[in-house]
Amino acid sequence: MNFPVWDVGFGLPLLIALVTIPHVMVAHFAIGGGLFLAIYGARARSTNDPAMLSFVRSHSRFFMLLTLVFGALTGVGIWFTIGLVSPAATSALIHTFVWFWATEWVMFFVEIAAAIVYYYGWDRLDATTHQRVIWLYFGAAWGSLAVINGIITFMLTSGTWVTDHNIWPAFFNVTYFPSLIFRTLLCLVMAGIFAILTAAFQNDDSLRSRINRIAILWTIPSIGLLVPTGYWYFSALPQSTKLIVSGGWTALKSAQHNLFTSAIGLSILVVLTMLTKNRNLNRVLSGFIILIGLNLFGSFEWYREAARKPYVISNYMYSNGMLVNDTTSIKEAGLFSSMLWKHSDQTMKGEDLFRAACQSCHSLSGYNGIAKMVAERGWTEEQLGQLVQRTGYFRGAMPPFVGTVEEANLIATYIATKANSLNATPESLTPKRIWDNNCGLCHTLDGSRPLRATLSGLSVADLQETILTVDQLSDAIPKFFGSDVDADKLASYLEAQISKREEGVSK
Amino acid sequence: MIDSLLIIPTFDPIPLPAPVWLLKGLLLLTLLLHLIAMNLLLGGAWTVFWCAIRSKYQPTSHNGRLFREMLAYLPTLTAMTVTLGVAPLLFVQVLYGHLVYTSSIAMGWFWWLVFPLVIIAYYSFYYLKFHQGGETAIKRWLPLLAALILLWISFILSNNFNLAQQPERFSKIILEDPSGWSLNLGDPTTFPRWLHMVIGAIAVCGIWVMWLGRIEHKKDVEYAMFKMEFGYKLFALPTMINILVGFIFMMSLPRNIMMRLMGKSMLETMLWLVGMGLAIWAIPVLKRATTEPQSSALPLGTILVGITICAMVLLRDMVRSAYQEGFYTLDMPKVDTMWGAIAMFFVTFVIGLWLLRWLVQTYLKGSKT
Ligand code: HEC
Ligand code: HEC
Repeated sequence: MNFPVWDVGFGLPLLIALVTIPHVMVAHFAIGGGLFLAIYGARARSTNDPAMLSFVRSHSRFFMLLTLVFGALTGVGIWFTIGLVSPAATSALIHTFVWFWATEWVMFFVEIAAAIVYYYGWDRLDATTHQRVIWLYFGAAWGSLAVINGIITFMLTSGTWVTDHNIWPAFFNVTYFPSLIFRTLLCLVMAGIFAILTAAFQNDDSLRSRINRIAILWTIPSIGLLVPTGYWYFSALPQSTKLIVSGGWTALKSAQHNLFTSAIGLSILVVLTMLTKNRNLNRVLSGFIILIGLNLFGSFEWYREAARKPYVISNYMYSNGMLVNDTTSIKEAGLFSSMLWKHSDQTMKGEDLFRAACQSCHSLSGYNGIAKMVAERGWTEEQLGQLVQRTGYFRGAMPPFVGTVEEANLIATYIATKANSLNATPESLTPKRIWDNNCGLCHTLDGSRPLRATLSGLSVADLQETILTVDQLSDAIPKFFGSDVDADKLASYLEAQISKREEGVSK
Repeated sequence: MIDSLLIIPTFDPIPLPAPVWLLKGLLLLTLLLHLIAMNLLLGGAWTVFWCAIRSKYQPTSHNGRLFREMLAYLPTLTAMTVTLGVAPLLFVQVLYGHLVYTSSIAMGWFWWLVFPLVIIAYYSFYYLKFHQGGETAIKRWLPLLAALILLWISFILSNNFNLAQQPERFSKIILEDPSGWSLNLGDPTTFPRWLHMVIGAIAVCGIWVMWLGRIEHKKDVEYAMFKMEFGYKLFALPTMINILVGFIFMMSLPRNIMMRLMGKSMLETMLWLVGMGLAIWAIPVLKRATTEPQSSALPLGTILVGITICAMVLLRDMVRSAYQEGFYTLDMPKVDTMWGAIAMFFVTFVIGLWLLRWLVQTYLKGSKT
């Protein structure tokens, strides 16, 4: 609430993803690839293997051009981007971890210098020194991962820092080690797949298939080990996060799915590449391998970010920059009067409120586009107002809404106006849609905020009664906005779902 | 309705993790190093472009040789400028983050586009470096493209840090245009401030060219003398112009700040006079270096200009404090020093320096085979 929100039409989270995903992929390659160069450079030299040495040399050129320029600069780009997208969180992290970042900067500096000396050193340095330089490079690169990892995992599991502000346990938090190992394994995978890419552009057939065989060693076992490490990572998450992850946020489920399929797809393609001797086919396959690698990182990073919702720093700050500790005082004062960035023009109040409270996660019609969502669902302005007040209870893990009813209605009016201008036709109301548009926003049958136990045994008529009077159960629940017929459809649907005893309607 | 409210975000509730003097010292030190690298890069990019034009892409002419000689440094200089820029960016966020984030958001896209543009310039340098010999259209335009990009980036950085110290301007921009496509153009200091930097970069690059002449003086005297002459011209003329631009910059500052440089604050006035005086003194000294490349003139001139740069970095910081006097001073944030983490940093730093020294030494000791 302290900082303005940059109005990027297609959505701020997408901007982050655009920078983060390619960067993270290249950054992991920058570490794993360094190890690769060190090991095979040494081996080629000790076994006097000129073909391998020439491969390592040409790989090192590609390596340098990719990691030193693209990798390093997109890393700086992340700095720029998070400062723009989440200024409050960036500020909090900087004030907490500046000395860690400064330490990482030293390693980064050594890493860059070593990469340059290594690359220009092929004709200048003797073999032993040249090898030392690349080992130094690898050490510095992995070291900077080990530092950054503490900060990234802190955002996910801040532990007791929120109360004691104690820096070391915050850094070595519960997900630090699982994440470090997980990422180190990813580095090895990246080393393998980029070796395949460079190899695909080698004309020497036997060299190419040697590299492809080596790449198997780097990728397949690491992918295999990612599974238990990922499980360890996941089990270290606090219960509340696990609920979000397992609790029926469908997008998260599909990210998880995506993660697994890319890992499997990658393994298959790597093996296929080894089996094909045709150079052109190798090139095509290596292109696909890189794309799937990107998808792997994309789903992993997205998953990690999503699991952190509604926080940007767990238990300390919400994604919209609001401090958890401030929620009570803001509730008392009202959202609008607690906001710094607002127009004096009263007609813009709805927009100002939306921007401060929602726009860090939602765009209007781009990524997570709220106006689009509303138009497709055919929600009325009144219904939307009821929902906005209760966004904190949604399954999508949103921060609590801290404004007044009037402020919620202003936001609803703003969104509804935008939604109307989209001229979308609402989706037809199947029973499943009615569920999704109403109860399913906050409930699942068996996952988060489960309803099965409460509703089982009720007749369709009882269910209809419950649905129509649901707002009387608790302030948290909005009234049911459908017609009696809709309520009936929903009731029969629920009755059928519950008696089927299946996993849950949320799927 | 026009919004001209003064909106200033509050300082982060988390205290400063170190005493102000330490953070400030590191900010200024790393900024100084960043600016030196930036001067060589920006000035170098334009000099390389100039040489490319002048040589008509004849590799054997003096200009053509200088083109290749300087071009070879540009990728590494880009890496150095960026890497040395990350550190002051870190410390400026610690001390002034609430202001810098806000002004960055005001010019969101321009700020965000900085790093993709650097990537383009950086790859351009590598492309030129790896594709020598033979003139193609792309090689004709790439040096200009890269030089323009770097010039543009210098403008954006100057613009942002200038805006950050004037909240009365950024709040207006943000409320009127939250899309991040605005720059701080209405401010009279914007252009003088930026030009002062850019012209200074060319002058500093001139000294670099002179050093290139001095180092290989014995190998090819004629070429070396060309570099001494050319470098001197690059230094002297811009420096003279820059004294004028500096004056204009000073006059464009808000009156109370300008008066500080005109005697109201002794320290600031002294810094300003010393900086300008030494730069003027460096002109005849470097002139002498063109006829006596191996004499002490070039080192002396370099030291004089070096002191000028230090004085200007300090002065720049004092002007910032003067701007912020009414709404933010560095004694406002609470301090809760993390000695353990600071120790970790300094230990790494010393080891890092030692490793860097080893790397550079090894590289220089190695000989082309
Ligand atoms: C922490 C980020 C975040 C903030 C802040 C946020 N939301 Fe959301 N919101 C989400 C996510 C994530 C979803 C789930 C989208 C999905 O299911 O794909 C969502 C879904 C919704 C939905 C649709 C419900 C559904 O499941 O389809 C509405 C309506 C909504 N948000 C309104 C708001 C409003 C109004 C605000 C501001 C008061 C707001 N949100 C603030 C992250 C956020
Ligand atoms: C905005 C979110 C939201 C929506 C939409 C919503 N609920 Fe709820 N519901 C809640 C919350 C939160 C609770 C827990 C309230 C409490 O404990 O005070 C709850 C509790 C309940 C309970 C009592 C559960 C128990 O175990 O005691 C029932 C039954 C229920 N909801 C049914 C429904 C039905 C049916 C719908 C759709 C017509 C619905 N809810 C829509 C948020 C919601």
